Amino acid sequence: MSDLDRQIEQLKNCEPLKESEVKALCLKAMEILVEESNVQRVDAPVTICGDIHGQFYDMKELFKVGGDCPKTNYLFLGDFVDRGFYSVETFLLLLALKVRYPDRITLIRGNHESRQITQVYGFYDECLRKYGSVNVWRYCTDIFDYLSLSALIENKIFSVHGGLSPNINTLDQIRTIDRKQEVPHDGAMCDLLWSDPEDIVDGWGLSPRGAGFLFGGSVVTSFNHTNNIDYICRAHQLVMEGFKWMFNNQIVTVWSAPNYCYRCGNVAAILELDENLNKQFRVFKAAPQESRGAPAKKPPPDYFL
Amino acid sequence: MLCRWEEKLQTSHLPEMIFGDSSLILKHISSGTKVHFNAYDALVGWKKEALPPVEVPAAAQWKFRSKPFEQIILDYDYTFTTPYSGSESLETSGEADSEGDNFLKWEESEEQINVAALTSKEPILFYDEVVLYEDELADNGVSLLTVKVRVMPSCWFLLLRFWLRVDGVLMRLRDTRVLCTFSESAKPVIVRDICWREATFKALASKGYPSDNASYNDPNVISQRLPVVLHKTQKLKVVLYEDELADNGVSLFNCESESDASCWFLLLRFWLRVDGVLMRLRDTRVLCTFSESAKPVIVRDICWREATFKALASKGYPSDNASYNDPNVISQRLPVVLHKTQKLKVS
Repeated sequence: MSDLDRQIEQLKNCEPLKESEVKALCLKAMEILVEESNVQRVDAPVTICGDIHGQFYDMKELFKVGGDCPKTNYLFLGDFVDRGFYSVETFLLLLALKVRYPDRITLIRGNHESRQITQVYGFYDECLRKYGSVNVWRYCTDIFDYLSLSALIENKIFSVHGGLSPNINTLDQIRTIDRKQEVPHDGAMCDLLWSDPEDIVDGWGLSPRGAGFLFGGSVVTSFNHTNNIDYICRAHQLVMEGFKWMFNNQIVTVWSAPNYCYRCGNVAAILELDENLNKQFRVFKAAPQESRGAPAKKPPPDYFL
Repeated sequence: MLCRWEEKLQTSHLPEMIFGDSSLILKHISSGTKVHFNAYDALVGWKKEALPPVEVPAAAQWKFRSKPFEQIILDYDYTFTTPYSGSESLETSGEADSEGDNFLKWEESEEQINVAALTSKEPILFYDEVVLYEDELADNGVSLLTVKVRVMPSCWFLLLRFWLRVDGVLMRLRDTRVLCTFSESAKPVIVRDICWREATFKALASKGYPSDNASYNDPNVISQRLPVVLHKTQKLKVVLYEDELADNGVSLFNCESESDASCWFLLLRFWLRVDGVLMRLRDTRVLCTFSESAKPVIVRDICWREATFKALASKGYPSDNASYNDPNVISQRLPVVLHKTQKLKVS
C-alpha cells in the first residue's frame, strides 16, 4: 500500500495527517491543480456535490449514497471548510483523493476557500487547535488559490459555486481570469464565488449589504443562450430540500450539508448525471448521532445571567 | 409554513434558518397568564422596526464598480434586527370572560432584577435553550435570536437574546431578562429587564479593543465592551382598559391586588396623562381585614390627584412628558383634589 493510499484510509477514519504529510500532499496537489483551467472540463457520468462545510461524517453518508471515488466520478462545488467540526479531515480527504485520482474528482473553489473567511468561520481555529500552529492552515489556504473557478460538463452544464457576474458574458471571459490569488472583494472572480439568483429581480440586483450581486431569470436565460448550455448548477445557499430549481429549470442549487451546522434540520442532495446527462437527485440525511464524534445534542444546564 | 409567513409579513426575505415550530411558553395555570417567545412575533417586530440596511466594508469599493444595465438595489433590513422582547396573553378558561377585555401590559417599573440572588447555585430543575431564528448574513456575520430558561425552586429566569455581528462593521446585542419569583402568599410577580447594547468596530478600535471579527464570536465574553443604548425594567400587570389618546398620552385603568392570611388589599387606579397638558390620578384602595370573632370589615380610601404641566413647571418640577411615565414615582407631586374614606355597611 502506498503512502497516499494509507493516508486516504487514515482520513476516511477521520484521523488528520501529520503536518509534514499535509505539506507534501499540498505540494503534489498544487502540481495537478495548476494545470487545470478556470473552466475545468468534466466528462459524464459525474456526481455533483454542493457545500460540505466540515461535516465529515455527513460527507461519509454522501459517499455511501453516491458511491466511492474513484468508482464514481465526483465534482465538488466548493465550501469544503468552516462551520462544521472537521474541516481539516474533510478537505484533506478530498485533496488526497484528488492527488490519487485526478481524473475522477474535480474540486472547484467556494467563497469559504479564502484566508479571510476561514479566519472568522472556523477553519483557522480548527487548524490551530488540532496542530498547535497555523502551518496547516497556511498550506491549505495556499492550495485554495489554485482551485479552479468553475466546471463545464460535456459542454452542456456550467457549474460554479455562487453564480454569474455582470462582468462575464462568455466562458472565455472566465478563462482569462488570473485566479491564483486570495478571493478579491469585487470583480468577476468575486462574483462567481459569491453571487445568488433572486426571484424578485429580473436583471441584476445589488444586495442590501451594498456588496454582492443578485441575478434574475433574464440574466440566466441570456448566459445559457450565449454559451449554448442547458442549465447552471451551483451551490452556496442552504436549501431545505437539498436542491432547488429556479427560473424554469435554467439553474439549480445543490446543497450537500444535511442538518447544516448540526441544528438546521434540512436534508442534503447530490446530482447524479449519467453518460447521457440524465439527471437524478439523491437526497440524504445527516449521519446518525452514534456514528459521529460530535458533541452531545443538548447543552448542559448553565447558570446564565 | 414559510410561504404563509412570507405572505403575512409581506416579504420574500426571511432568515435562512427559522425554527418556526419552536417556542418557549410559560403559563400560570390559575390566572391564565402566559408569557411566550416565538420566531413569528419576533419577525413582526423586525418588519415593523425596518431599520435601514447596514453596509458591509466591501460596499465602499463596490460604489466604484461599473453598474450593470438595469440594477435594482434591495433595501430591506437583512440583519433581521428585532425589538422583540416576548409575547404575552391572558387566557381565560372555557366560558366567556364577564370582566370584559382584560389584558396584560408591561409597565415601567423601579423594581430591578436581583442579579446577586440569581448567582446562588440553587438546583436547576429545568433548563433549555431554544433557537428562534438564525442567519449567516451570506457569510458577512451572524444574526441569532435565542431564548434560554432555567427553573429553580424559588424562581424561573430566562434570557431572550438577539445577537448581531456584521463583520467589520458593528455588533448589536438586545437582551431581555425575565424573572418570576415564587411566593406562597401572593401572586407571582414577573419583572423584566431590557438592555440593548451596540458598538461599531471602529468605536471599539478607538478604545483600544481588538477589531478583528474572530474576537467577537461569543456575546457573553464581549457584552461589557458594547455601550448600552437602551435600558429599562418593567413589570407585568393586568390592565382593565387602556387608550393611547392617539399618541397624545395615556389613559389607563387597572387593578392590583394582594392578600395574605390576615387581609386582602386592592388598588384600583385610573391614570391619565394628556401630553403637555395635565395628569389625573384617581386611586381607590380597598382593604378587608379578616377576624376570627367578627364579620370582615371593608374600608376604602378614595384619593384623586390632578395637576397641569404648567402648574408643575411653576413649582420647579420638570415639565417634559417623559418624566411622567410612572404614576408611582410622581404621584406626590400632584395635589389632592378629593379625598375620602368609606366603610362598607349593610343597610
